[in-house]
Amino acid sequence: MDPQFSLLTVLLSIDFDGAEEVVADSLKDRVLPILQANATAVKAGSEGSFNVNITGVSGDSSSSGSSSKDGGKESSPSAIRDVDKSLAPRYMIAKKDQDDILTRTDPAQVSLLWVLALTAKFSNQVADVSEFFALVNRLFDNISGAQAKLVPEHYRALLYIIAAASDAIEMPILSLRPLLSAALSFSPLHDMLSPAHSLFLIQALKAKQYKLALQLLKYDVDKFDSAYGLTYHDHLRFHYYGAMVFIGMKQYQKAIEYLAIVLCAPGFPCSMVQIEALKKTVLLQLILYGKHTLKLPRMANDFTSHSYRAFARPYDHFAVAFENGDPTILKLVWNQIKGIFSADGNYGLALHALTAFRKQRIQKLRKTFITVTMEYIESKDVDILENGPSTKEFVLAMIADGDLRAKISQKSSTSPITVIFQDASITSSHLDELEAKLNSVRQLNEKIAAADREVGQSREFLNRKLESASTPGGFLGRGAGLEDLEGNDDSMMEL
Amino acid sequence: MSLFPAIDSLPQSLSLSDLEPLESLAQSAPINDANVSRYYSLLIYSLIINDDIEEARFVLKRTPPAKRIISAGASELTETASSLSTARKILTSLWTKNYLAFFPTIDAALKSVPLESQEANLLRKLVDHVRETNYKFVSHAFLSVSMSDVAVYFGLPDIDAREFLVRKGWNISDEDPLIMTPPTLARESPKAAAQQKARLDSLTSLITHMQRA
Repeated sequence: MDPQFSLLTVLLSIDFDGAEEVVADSLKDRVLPILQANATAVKAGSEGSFNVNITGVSGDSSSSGSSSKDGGKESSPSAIRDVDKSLAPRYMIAKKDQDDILTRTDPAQVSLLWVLALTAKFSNQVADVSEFFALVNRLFDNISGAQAKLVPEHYRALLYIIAAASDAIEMPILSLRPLLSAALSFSPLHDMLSPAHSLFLIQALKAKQYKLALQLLKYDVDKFDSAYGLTYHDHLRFHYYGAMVFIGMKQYQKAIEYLAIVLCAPGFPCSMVQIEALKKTVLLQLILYGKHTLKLPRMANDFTSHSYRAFARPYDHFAVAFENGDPTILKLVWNQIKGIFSADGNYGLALHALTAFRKQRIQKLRKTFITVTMEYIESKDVDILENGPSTKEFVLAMIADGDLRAKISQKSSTSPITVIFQDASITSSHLDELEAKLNSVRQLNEKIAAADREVGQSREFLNRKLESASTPGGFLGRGAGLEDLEGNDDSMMEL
Repeated sequence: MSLFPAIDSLPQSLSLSDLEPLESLAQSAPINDANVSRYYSLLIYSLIINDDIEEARFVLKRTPPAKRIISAGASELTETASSLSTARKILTSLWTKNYLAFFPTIDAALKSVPLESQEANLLRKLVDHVRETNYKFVSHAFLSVSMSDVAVYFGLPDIDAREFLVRKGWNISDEDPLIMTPPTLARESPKAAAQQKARLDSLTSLITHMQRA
């Protein structure tokens, strides 16, 4: 950073139209204290300083906007207002000041101004992609999350500009670094959903950067604040795209967990995202467990359940045929509905389900036999698509992938090949995995207890408890299913 | 944006940590840049050597040349994409565990590149890696196996495969000289077994306690 131009010498002047007074005042109230807290001296008009003019603009996309200090008219950036009219940015930094901010200040100290400047400069068009991504990478590598959150509309708009700019040149990989930094800098524990979360995942899916996506998904997101323009759809999309990443990485158990979150989300009517989540859940359950349960999580509402049955019927048929175990019936059903899998984008997953069917038929032999000839396995083996490897190659692949614990023996070149099933042995890696899981369960328990206390102390809960206490019948029991506050009795709950 | 560097200007002995940071540059380089095709093939080999064949598969899907040329099903290979095409064949043969195709493809690839090139270095490491991985597999998967079956895993003629395994401690079966048996695995020491049992017992107690709580 140029030593002459530090935060000390940035002056801020607010110009606003009368209609925007309240809004602009609040910005002034939020921004100035930040600037002044870091200033030891502010010199008006001194050499080495520059003024930043922030103009309030009308949020109405049809209007020409308010006038600025020098009489020109500013309007809400067209590229952004189309994204979300309710969140169209309402402040514009004058063009002449944009470059000053982006070249002469440190984004770590004035992240807020950088967000405003970038949004203003690139909202209508990203002419120079290299310049744009160099600037956004510099911002998000050093961003102050606290400052950026003061202008949520601009912050969110900037994220959409990043995604759109990379999509325009068909290089989603360029958007991944800034979006990941934005998502991770949003909250200290990375447990709060941000506008960047679902944007990052969809760009990662487009760029087929699944491993990079796991860097975000390793953090469980359980906090949500609608102040940043987040809606129910962001929550659904984040978990749905997250499940798709886990499916790509073949972490099917984790994928089912994320899809369950989507299915549990309240809403009326249910979202198409939830329908798609259900379809994938059915196939994943078949792959992992050999059976499915169309029984929805307890929290899902009844209307959602009816919708699922209507939209996911073909998947239900496939699952029933799969569980039935008759390969002839399964092949018949597959031929009838494979077009539906393809249209839904689930063809690959359905193929994995057919492979799982073949594996599970062989694995079932363990229940009956300790040793079996390869010839016998061949007689039981079924390849629905008839284009897979031979039985021997398939069994060897299962052993190599850990899907079958067995050893192969052939006493002589003329004797049959036998497969000897083995018992599972517990290794130290199993114990390491078990310890890691127990630790995460312990942490989860602590989180749930903290959330329980927080809900129990919330105004909404206390009011509801008061109302119920004053009516006959009241709550069903102490705490109505919630834990009592530690050491407190009911009298403490009265306000 | 920075230009993609010439592969020949990179170190002879390339590792995954040298190659991965260059991907964003590769994505923005011109599609017909032969360097880019070479880069992706080297990245794929490095990922396989580091036991990340899944990521190698994703790399192949996201390479700009692959999207335009190979995914279109074109049978003719342009010079710029030939190294990537070779990498694709190698990856496919490993993915499908088709070792009958894998070793000849590697041999052909080694003959087509300069002896001391980055490709040759990585291809030789890849062959050694696959042979070593397969050796571990056959040691655990077979109690006894015919030489012709096991030779496939090493890409060697039967006699060479026998010599290779005998050096590793395998035995030729008394009943049939065409059958080989792996060496007996060393048993776990009593102390290690006792430690493992103690650890398992404490974890079991913890789970029981949590269930009661």
